Amino acid sequence: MKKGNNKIKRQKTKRITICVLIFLIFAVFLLQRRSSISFLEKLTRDIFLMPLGIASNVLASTNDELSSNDTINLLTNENAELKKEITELKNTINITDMLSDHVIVTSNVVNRNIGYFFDTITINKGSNSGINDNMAVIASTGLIGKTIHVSEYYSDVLLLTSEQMGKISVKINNGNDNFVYGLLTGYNSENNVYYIEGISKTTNVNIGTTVTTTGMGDIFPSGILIGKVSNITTDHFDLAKRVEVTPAVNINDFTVVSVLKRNVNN
Amino acid sequence: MIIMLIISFFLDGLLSNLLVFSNYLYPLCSLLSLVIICPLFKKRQVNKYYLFSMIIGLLYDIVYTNTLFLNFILFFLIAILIRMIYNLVSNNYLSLIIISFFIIVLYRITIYLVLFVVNYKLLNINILLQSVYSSFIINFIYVSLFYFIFKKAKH
Repeated sequence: MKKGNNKIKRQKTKRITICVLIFLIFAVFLLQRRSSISFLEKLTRDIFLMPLGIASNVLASTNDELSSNDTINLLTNENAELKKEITELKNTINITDMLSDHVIVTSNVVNRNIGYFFDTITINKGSNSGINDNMAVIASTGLIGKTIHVSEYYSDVLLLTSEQMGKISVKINNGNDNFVYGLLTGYNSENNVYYIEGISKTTNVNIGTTVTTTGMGDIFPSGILIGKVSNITTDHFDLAKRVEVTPAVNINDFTVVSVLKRNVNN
Repeated sequence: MIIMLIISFFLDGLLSNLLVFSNYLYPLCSLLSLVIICPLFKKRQVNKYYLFSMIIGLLYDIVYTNTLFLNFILFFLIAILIRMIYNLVSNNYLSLIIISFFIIVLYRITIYLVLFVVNYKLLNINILLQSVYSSFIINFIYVSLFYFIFKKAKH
């Protein structure tokens, strides 16, 4: 009787192990190949992100429910918040002046980088607001990433810091309309710098100059600020320059972002 | 238990957005809720516990990380492991904290290795270590808080 029970138990463990292995292989396969999400996933995301979306809206509209004793403090804080918000929006407008063929969709951040390794944030605008995959996303001071996994009311933003971002065509402004072109190839989280490669060793690049997008490729329009040149070294073969760029946007320091929606009329 | 799982799930999203001022506060509430609720399931309810772990893992996949079935499987395997550990040690505050830390380390290493294998991430030990110790503080607070809430509710 005991032997029979053990046999059944062993068979059950075997079956579970096989199921786990199949699911694990499937998960790894999906991780490599998946470019879009299914209708069911979109629906689940929209339902479960709704409370977080409401919470982020509440956070964004600050302290309305505080008692009257705290009114002065509240107003002072609110004033400071509004001033910060005005500066952020002004900066956004400065950036967006250059992007006349794009419509701006402003949204709040719902959650950020939960998986730690995935370098994504979620925003509370989706296909309902005309957002599609692969649209540029900017914060007040510069580029932060592109949209991925868009559902009806929410979208994920793949941050520039992700290794999945791919190479981005950029230009370094050396002054007097003298641009040096290169490719943004990666990010170093320890030093908080982006790397630009593909620049000849003989080309002159100045520290402190600004780096912007070139507009080549379909995703990022021209002229969006990425950061400033902080250091210049050479590559492993000592053949080309490797430029280090300090990001214009602190990834942990924004609550409002703008998606650059392509203008259909243009 | 279901309420706690739901609260923990939403806490993950909420805290990630609230604790933006520090790079050392990364919540793993959904995963650690499995550690807290495990002793509350009796032996004959163990399948229910595994089912909950799979559901919360699948939701974590769909809503937060967009990695279909990865957390679904990992949460299930971790639930089995937690159950096995609780069969060996007694249920008290110290064992809860040690198991939680062990689960955080195991989860971060496994996820990072999977992402490295599929060429999603480059191998960098510093990033892995940072991911581990940046999860300790906030999750220690979370686990302690819910342990004492449960203890008080039990009394």
